[in-house]
Amino acid sequence: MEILKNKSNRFDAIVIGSGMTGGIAAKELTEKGLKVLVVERGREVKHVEDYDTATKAPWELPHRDKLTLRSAEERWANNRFNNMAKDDLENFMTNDKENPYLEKRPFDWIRAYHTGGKSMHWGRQSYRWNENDFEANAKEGVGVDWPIRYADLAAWYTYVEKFVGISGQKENWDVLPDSHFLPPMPMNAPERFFKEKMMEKMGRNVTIGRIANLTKPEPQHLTLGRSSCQYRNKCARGCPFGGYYSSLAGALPAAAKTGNMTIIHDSIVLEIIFDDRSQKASGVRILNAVTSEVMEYFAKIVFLNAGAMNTAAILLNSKSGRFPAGLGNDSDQVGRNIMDHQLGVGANAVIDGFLDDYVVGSRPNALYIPRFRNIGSDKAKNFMRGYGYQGGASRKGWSRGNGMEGFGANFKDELTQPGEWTFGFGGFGEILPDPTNRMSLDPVKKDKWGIPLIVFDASFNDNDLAMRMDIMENAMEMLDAAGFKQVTGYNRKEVHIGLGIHEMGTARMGNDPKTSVLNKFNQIHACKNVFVTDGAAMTSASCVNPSLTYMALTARAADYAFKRLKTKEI
Amino acid sequence: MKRRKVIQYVSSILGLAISGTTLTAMNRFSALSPSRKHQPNLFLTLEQFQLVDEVTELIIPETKTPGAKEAKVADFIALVLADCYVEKDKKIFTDGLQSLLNRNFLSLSPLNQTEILETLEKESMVARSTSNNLDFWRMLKELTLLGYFGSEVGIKACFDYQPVPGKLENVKWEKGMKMIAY
Repeated sequence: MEILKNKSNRFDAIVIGSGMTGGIAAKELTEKGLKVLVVERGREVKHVEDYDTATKAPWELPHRDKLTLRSAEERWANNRFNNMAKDDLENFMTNDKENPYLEKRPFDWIRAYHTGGKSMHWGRQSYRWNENDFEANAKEGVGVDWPIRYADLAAWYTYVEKFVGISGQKENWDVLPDSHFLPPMPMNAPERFFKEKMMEKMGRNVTIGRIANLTKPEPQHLTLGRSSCQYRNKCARGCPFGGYYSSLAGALPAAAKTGNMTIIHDSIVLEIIFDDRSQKASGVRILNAVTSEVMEYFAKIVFLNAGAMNTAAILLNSKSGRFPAGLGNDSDQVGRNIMDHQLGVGANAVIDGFLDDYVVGSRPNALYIPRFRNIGSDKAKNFMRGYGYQGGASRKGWSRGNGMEGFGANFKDELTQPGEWTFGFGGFGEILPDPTNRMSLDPVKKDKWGIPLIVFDASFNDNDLAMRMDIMENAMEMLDAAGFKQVTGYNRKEVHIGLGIHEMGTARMGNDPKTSVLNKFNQIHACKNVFVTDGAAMTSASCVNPSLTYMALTARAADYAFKRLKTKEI
Repeated sequence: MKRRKVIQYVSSILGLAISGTTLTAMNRFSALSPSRKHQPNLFLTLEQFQLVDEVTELIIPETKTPGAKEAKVADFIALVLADCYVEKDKKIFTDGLQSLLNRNFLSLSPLNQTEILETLEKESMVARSTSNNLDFWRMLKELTLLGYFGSEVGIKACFDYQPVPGKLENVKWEKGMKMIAY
């Protein structure tokens, strides 16, 4: 393979990955005037015009919501997340057969290799961490302490929220700090009833989900061509209206507007090149996924935003004389401490009444019940930390016919009328950092490009399993307390770590280079011009959805990187 | 969908002025609207296909709205059986069809046909209470409902199809209203 070197391969900054955090890094650095190369390993997806299932009617998807045997085989990992391999999404989700990984213990790895990555398909739930989330590790002697506190990030949350656009209700709760909000989406009638009952019977709070959909766009959204959410609830297919935030709809167009961004696709980063003389990274070595040509690109700083697992894999694969175990891996923590959020556990019920209530528009959102476990005077018997719930009420539609007896004219007519209201919600639980939950590179097995395969070796531990039971039992208790009927709990046994699609922790931040990979500005301790600002950087997981925090960390690190670059300190 | 139709539709629903950005987005939306047709599929024999066509019409008959035949539910079932079910489950379905053919189902009176399907349903409900295994009736009914209520004919006849609702609003359900499909 020929290695091409060329002066036009020089940039101020290289951003590896175009997803949730790569997009923000590209936007921030280009807006500050830096020439930035964005490297995306997957195919190009153009905002709006390549969303080829977005406007399809139900009957235009040939198998409707049935999974084809072909897609199930090709997307064997993505398919573990119920709806990621069907007609509407399969071409956006990674072909796992062509991009295999290995499992010492099962790990559900959901991937989307294309422009914008998983930011195109995310759940869009957006919550700030609270003060305790940053302090809990130190207080409880878990993992290592965060090198930052809530106060370090608060202004960056606001900054990112204004750009992204988060709809939500201001509540003034310590456990769930408010964001800069666009107007909240409404709760439906049974949900308002549920909220009242929860406060009355259990003293628990309920709020409408805080979500990155534009309920009322502001000028910074309109200027990028984004408009209001149209309540189609088909977000994961890509939104032709730019109604929800993705890297494709937001950060990448903003970066492109500056004229300072170059983006290349089908470009897999093999390694970050470490220069012994300067003791800094000099650039990246890239393999073209189509032509197998190898190229090198050079820059003053590198932002590594490949998604937590691939970010760690790139570090581990970047071996040099100075870093024989992989770039920044003096502590042997790269690839360890895999965290995620638990899901697949909760409860459902049927609601009496409200039969004259109906909703126009399909809400791409649900309720949020903030963490109440191990907060204040609450002490769980057998586990640490806690969880939040997401879910809500909806009326049954025609599909209830599957469980009903009958057929013929009356049966058909009945199914065209709305059915009973049901209520369902599930928990998102915090997983603790555990160095034995890890991924590494297989010493022998390689993919079709000759890149070592990732091996996962992680699982839930006793704390997680005890928490899962509590999530289910409390969900049932709450539905009972609301007076709902046919309360049914569930705790899916086939769920593994990873299925929350909040994988994180594989290059954690910390104060001590002996026990962590990154410092308080997301710089690799011993290679200060490499910044890791995706989920890999997380020192603990909280129980709230993480993307907003990743984006805030990214904007903060980009600001710091630019300032140090100006003063020639990196 | 025609651009103007979408715009008028949303305007009339919202009764609001639409911003320039939304209009631009509407244009993009309509430019994307597809027109893909189903491909014919030969998984079922002609005899099996005709049987499915008749049985699905008994499940979802023509009333004041079209039935399963007009919605081409049998075509959908043939496609989905071929593409989405493993051999074991395909066989459950074709075995079920064969047992109906063995009883000359198509030449029976409507009353007798209905009786046979009622028996199948009772057996299926009993089986379901003790096991999670698929059975012929369960597959047939599920695919018929999905084939009909997911079809253009079924959705447009039975529901108020709103691909772009443009708003989210709690309303009172009144007699004569149609459920909204998105």
